[in-house]
Amino acid sequence: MKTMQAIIDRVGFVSDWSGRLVSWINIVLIITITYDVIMRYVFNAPTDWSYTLSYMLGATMFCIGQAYVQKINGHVRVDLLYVKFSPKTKLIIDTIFTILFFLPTFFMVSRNLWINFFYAFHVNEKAIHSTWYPLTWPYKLLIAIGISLFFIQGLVMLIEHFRNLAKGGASS
Amino acid sequence: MIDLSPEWITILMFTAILVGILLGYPLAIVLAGVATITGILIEGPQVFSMFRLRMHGIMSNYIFLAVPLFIFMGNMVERTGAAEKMFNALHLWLGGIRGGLAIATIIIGTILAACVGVIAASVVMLALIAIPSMLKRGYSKSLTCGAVCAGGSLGILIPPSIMLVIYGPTASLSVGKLFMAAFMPGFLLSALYIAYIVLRCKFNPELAPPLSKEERAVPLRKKLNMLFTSLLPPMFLILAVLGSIFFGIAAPTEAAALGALASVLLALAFR
Repeated sequence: MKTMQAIIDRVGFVSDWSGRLVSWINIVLIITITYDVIMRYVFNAPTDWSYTLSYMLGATMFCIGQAYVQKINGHVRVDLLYVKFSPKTKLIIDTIFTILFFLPTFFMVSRNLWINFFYAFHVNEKAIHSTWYPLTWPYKLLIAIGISLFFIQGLVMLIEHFRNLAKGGASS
Repeated sequence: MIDLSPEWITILMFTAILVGILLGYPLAIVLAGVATITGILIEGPQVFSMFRLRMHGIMSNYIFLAVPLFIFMGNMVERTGAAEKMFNALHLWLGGIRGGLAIATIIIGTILAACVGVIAASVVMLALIAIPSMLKRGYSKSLTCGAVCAGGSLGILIPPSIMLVIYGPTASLSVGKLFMAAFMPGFLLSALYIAYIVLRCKFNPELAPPLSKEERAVPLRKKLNMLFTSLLPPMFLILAVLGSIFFGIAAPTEAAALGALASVLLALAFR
């Protein structure tokens, strides 16, 4: 039980920390995009890397941020009825839907993303959105890490749900 | 796999989504989960490759990057205290009219809506500033809250709005054109809100008493000064964002980045 709690805390710490870290990508995005606009209009020399780099950074932010959002329970809910339920009902709903919808989907998606990353790494896949042609595997690695972290965070929260249910259903 | 007619698949998926969403499970995961289960049952496990491809397609969509940037901008504007300054200035100008503070709230809501793309930022700002001030002066509670909610939620319609940034690429429409199209309805709504407040207060004067003379006794010079110093910075921001989209200088994503930079400068200037 103690090791379990340690694992839960560790995963939560990683989600929290990685989410805070990727939020700084916003600043990088502002700088790269503004730089590109200035280069294009003032110096008539648009960059070839800004477009590709921007979407890769943005995707990294979305994917890695998901684990953080999951941890703070921030995914958008329609809480029309949800707010009226008792803590125990909420726990049961979350547990059932996590098993039914969350686990299979994101396990398979993250598995698929890892396969795709290994493929991209193996063949030195390049992005063809601009003439910059960067390697895609670092970006695919980050996305795979992000979705896997999201999956692990969800799994850990499911374990917590089970523990709370066993304790009688009070929300943690 | 399972052989079902498209009609039945649609009905089953729709029911499952409705049940999941209404029970309060996170929207995104319900959609993904229903799609996955239906996909496995009907197409087989290759749906996960499709899922991944679609994910890459959406994530490499440049225009969606405008969403975090506009949110950043909204939060930055929220922290600058621009709304408070505007309210202080407008409440002197409009305080004499019946319902003047409510009108000021709607006007500030409109201006903020053109600065931020998310309603959370503008509703929070208005609620913190306008509600205590209006209640203190004996405005009716329903009018106060109505003005804040209505004025604050204009942000979702008046560009730059996150809703349109997401809707545009999904429906293969130009976000710039959507922004231009959303301008008139947004201002029309705002004008109608103001007209409604004026009429309500005319027929029912005790809803919103005007400010006392002493409170408004501020020299005209100072009043003008307050108005300009509070309105110019947001106008600068609006021009930076919407101007660069409407005059074709920058794509919405680039305009969002410029606006975010402008909002940081604004925050520095207001410190």
